[in-house]
Amino acid sequence: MMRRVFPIPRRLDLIVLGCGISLAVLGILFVSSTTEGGRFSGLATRQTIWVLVGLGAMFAAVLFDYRVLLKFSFVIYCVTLIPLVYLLFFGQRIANVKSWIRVGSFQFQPAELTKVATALLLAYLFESSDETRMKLATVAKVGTIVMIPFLLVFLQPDAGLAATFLPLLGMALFFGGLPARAWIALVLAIALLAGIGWFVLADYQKARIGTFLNPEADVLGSGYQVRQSKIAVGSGGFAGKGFRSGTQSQLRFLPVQHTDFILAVIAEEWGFLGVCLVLALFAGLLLRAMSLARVARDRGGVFLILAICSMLFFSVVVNASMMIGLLPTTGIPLPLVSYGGSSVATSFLGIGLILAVEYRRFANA
Amino acid sequence: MNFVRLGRVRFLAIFLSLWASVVVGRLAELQIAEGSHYRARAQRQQERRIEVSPLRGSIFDREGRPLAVSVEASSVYAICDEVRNPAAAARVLARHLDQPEAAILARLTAKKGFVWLARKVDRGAATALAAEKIPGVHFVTETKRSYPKGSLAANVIGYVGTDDKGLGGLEHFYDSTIRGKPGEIVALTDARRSTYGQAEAPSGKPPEEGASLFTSLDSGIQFAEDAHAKSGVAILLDPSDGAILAMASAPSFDPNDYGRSPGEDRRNRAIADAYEPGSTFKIVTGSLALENSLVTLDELIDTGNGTIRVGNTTISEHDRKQYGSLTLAGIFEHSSNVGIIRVGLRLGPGRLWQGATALGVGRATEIDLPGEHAGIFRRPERWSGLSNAMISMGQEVSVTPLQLARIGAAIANGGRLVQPRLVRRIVHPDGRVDVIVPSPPRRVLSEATARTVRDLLVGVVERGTGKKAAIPGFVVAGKTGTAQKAGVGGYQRGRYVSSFVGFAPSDNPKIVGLVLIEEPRGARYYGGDIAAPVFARVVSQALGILRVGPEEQRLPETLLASTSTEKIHYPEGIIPASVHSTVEPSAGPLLRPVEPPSAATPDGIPSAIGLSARQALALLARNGLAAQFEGSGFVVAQDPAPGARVRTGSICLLRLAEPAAAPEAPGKESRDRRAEELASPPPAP
Repeated sequence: MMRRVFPIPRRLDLIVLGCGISLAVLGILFVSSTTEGGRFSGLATRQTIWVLVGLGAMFAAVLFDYRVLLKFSFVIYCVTLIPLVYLLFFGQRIANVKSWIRVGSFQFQPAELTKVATALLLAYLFESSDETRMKLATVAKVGTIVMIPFLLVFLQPDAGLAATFLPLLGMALFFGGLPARAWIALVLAIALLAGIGWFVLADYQKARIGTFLNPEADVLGSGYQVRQSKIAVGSGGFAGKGFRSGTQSQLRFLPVQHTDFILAVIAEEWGFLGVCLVLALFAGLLLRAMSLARVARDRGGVFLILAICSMLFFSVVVNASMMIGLLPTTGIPLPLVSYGGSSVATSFLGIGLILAVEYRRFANA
Repeated sequence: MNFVRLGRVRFLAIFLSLWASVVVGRLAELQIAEGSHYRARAQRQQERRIEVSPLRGSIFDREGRPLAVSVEASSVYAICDEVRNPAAAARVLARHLDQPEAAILARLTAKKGFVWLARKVDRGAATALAAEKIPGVHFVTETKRSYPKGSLAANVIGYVGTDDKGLGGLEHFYDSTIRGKPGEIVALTDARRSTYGQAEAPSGKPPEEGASLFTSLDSGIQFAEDAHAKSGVAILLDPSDGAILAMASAPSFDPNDYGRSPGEDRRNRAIADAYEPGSTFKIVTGSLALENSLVTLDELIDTGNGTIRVGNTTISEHDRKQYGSLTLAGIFEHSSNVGIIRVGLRLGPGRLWQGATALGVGRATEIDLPGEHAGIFRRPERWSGLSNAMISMGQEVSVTPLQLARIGAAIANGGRLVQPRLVRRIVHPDGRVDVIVPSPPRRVLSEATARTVRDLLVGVVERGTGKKAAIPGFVVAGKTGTAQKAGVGGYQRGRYVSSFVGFAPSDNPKIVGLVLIEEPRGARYYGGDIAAPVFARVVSQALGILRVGPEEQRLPETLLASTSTEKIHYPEGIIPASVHSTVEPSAGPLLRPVEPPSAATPDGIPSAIGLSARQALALLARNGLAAQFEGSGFVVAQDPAPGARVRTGSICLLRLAEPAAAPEAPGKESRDRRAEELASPPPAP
């Protein structure tokens, strides 16, 4: 029995593992590039610790039978919601949002863990229900599962972090089998509502909604950030200015350069080649993970991989688009690379779950 | 194993591929296509350029004595981020910079990264401070304008504003030449506009030093002028080429501290103001009549009872005198209004206007100074019936003092109109020398006419209204002028402009002088009484400084030789021979202004006792001093006494006595020895 719960490692997918670790190492490098010698010095060390914690969590996830986790996913889900509720009432505001729990000098965003728990619960949901066409009840369940943590985080109020729950919803509906007609209806309804809203509301109301949805980035602020980011990226050129030589980031023109805009730092210091490397690593990680989903032995595993991949995809797409001004600034970090312990650790946990699914594809439990 | 629809996975993969290509395409656009644009933008916002003023070129007089110099001074600044211990740094800085410690500390701890601690401190303090090696404290060389001779020729030299921009005189006219090119410190600045540190690469460029001006002014002569003119103008120029030897305008100001003087005092009246010349203009009328053969020297012109009727107006002689019949010489000597009007009427408006215009009346001289007035000389079409007569005697026309001096020069040099010039050479910091070649003198009168007028003017000084312009030992030519100032509603009683224009020595003129005194106080106001004596003093001193020998005196052979070869040219001061022989750029600073001979004579004033007037003049001139004489013969006493230390340009008063009367007439032997010393070419200072 023990042997089954903790089997001896036989085979790990080296592509997924390699890409993930490479990205984390790049992250540590560039966090150190932008923060050493300044008032943020020491963050690279912290990031390293968090990466190690994340790697530990990853291996634990591989070794632990994900099927057991799926079985207890509802409990895990509920447990991870508790700190969110706690934060809502007793949280301390840090950078205007109540999303962190402090333990000593370390801070942790419990919502990151909630995401993994939500992914597990969704996977469990699809594991047990085997419908090719989604029933309305399932849609309602999926919606409830995602919207509860979404709202809790949204009220913190951390719209960026809350938004990272939405890909779970999209994934569940998309792969869970919501019919194409329903998708079309959904898209039209959203467009209609937005259109009506746009004409009905006065300018200042729109501005208020904008500010409410994204309190960190006031109009001038976000414009400034995007402009500086574009200057950083553009001035990097093909091969970049060299490691630690990015003037935009070193001179603090680039805002939150070690977190949300770390990809712009890479773009400035390592140029076009550097960004392509990062994007290639993500592509390798995610495409490989997707292909693993196709060979998973059960539906729960497939959905677990899809859920985690969807979250990573979403963050990468939004973060990279934001850097070059294709999307408005939202505080969504680049997974594995951006500074941020909770994000890095849970990303590795997610990778661990992906590896676990593939690791056990031939297990006969 | 078909747990999910493969189609949907493909759909997602396609969507992501599309997105990836959009992102990569956009990146390529930003980073590769527009990379240089963004690099420039990044650089623009990251660099803070702090301008550093260049070393402004100096202005020298003809002997290389500095009239305006820029002293290199160090400015001290700090990059606050780099200062490790602001409190300790402030303490040391306060000691060296003579500023309150608290104030320095406040600046060091203020948010800004770059902060000036002190601008333009003197070298000593800067060196001492540099030796302290305070981290974060840096130095940059800036310049400070200084006029070692104070108000000397201030109206000509001009002054420099706080931003190192020439605001008047030569400083303004040659500003672009002597200003140099500003350099800059490039400091990296972060998003909070605080300076981050100096750019690693020397991307700042050092300022480029400006060129220096070598003028024809002689500070010794100039000093003499400034000392004597109370309110008005004095100009001395070299009639052969128009070089301005001295140009003084009073009242004057101290360019070191120009802000404390009224703007009025900073004007250069020699060029910026036009006056009705009055009788000095008779030179023009007389010259033109002679040139056109409308009058002969022996012709008698009837001045009648001292009045002449032109139209309905009766014009009379000054002081209602009656001269009867006068030759042209008599008209000049007495400054007869009636006589010159008769001559002028023969010319008629056309020839008078044309001829006077050719002599530069109503035309800017194009001297190298800003703000020149062209004078006022209406075209004959706009003349009234009275104009021909009025203009003949110097009314209804106004000229600048410089224009009048130039007319004097045309008579002195045999009929050629020169272009007045102050700057003779521009020496660039790399050693290139631009020699300013004034436009060649234009012939406006025949030699014969000029010679004739010169003789008439000699008569004015010897027998006529200009007697007080006589200089012992020289034959002086000149003409007096007295004009009533015109105001609202006609001429103003009691407000006169007295002037004298002349030159010496008459047979080989070296100096043309013009003295114009505005509104002299006191009972006398005639040019012959007011301006002529000043002319005599100023020009005699100038002749001494230029070592022009008195005409009557027989000079020893050796002295004659030395004078004739050197002519009036001074040894060229500190300019090394290479500058003259080559215009190739030479490395290194070529012309550092040597410390001005402020104590012109390190050993004090030399002794002139026992020398002749001429020898004493030469000796003093060589030491940058002017002389004023009393009596004749040999020097028996001098003030200041030998050995005294005085400023360049000071006047040494010499009392002369005939050898027999001299109590301590030195032996002939020692006199000869001194004469020999003088004969040897003066050593280059």
